[in-house]
Amino acid sequence: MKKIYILILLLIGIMLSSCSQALRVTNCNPIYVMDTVITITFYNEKEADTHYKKIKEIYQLYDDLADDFSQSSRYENIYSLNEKRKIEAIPELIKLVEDALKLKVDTNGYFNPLIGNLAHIWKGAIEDDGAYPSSEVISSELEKMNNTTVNIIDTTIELIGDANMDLGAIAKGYATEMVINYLASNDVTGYLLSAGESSVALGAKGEDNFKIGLTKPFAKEYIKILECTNTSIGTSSYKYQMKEYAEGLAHHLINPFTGYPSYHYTSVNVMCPNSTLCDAYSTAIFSMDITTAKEFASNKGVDILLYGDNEILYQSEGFL
Amino acid sequence: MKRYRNDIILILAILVVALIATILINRNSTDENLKIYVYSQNKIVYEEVLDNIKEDKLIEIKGSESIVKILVTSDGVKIVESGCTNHVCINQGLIDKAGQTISCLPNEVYVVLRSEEGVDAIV
Repeated sequence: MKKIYILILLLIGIMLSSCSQALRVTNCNPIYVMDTVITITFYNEKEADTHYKKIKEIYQLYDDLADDFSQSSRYENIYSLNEKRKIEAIPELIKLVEDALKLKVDTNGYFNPLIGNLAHIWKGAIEDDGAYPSSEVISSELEKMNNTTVNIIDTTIELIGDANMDLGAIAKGYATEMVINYLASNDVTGYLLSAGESSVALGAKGEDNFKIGLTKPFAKEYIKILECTNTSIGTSSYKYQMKEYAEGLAHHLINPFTGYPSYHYTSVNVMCPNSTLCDAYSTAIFSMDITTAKEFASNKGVDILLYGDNEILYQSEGFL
Repeated sequence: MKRYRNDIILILAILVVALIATILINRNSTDENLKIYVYSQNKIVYEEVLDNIKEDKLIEIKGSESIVKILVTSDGVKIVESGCTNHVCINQGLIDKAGQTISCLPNEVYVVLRSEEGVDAIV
């Protein structure tokens, strides 16, 4: 009879173990920042509310700092830099601008933080009452961009030249990276951070992989569903920000060498553990031809998927 | 055998209870039903399992700037009317797969489809 009891206890143990593997999922309320919706899901996390509040603060801080359309009520930000040309900035903004300038070098100029004027011109062209910009305007703004420098001395940032700064291409990824660092420093490993359809940062999901759908531009289908964990994916695509003109398609992903929208791809996905790099590289690669993009990604050790003409043009090993 | 009768009854009872508990606890994690969540600002204002939608429903949500009208059908969800200027939310069309979302940022209205077994997020 003792053997039967042991067997029964073993069975109950197996059942309880199966119960304990059930994942506790906490879907937090959305955060509306940076022209997108940030959603956070925690897995098996007891302090989800506390972390949510801190994460919201981080996103709101960088939303304020990177805003180039309006003055922040709390801090000098990119808008005030563009308006005043010289500001006293908090350390977080100094670091953000320094990192953006490093990324310009890192991407061989394919990501350029001084693209502000051109970005606003093309954003205007996408609006309902917009018009296709003239070649004279584009040439003039390109010249301004190429003749502007940024000086950072202690807590002062100064724009020398007539171009404006725009950190929209990296702000979300940068803020997400700050959130990842915060979560890591608090030993939080089970999370999913999603910023609209432009980026995701993945921790762990119990013992499972996340299933991430790579959306096909202009279709309600997936290019593929990727199973992965502990990484980030950034996407650049103009599917929601475009307008057709007789002169060509206007959208917001501008080639900093020509001043015009890039047309090599309809979407670019970049996967690597660093959210800032995913964001910056997806923007930069959007303007590279396929040979340059492949070489760049290989040199940087990141995975890329290039999509255009309704097919995958190239995908590196991590996407296979 | 009679000697063990009570033991056997006890063992069977424990087994049945453990089995039922296992089924109940794991039932949610294997639920494949697609569920619609509609948020206005930071609150869930509507949630429903898509399979439970038998007739089209037009939901009116008070957004930050205007009323947002959301059409829920057995095929999926879409925003059909909004006072926002860019209408990106309307242009996003119908969503019908787990992980898909619609955002009306000016109104701070957010629609998401979630399921336990489907896609966790999209990019």
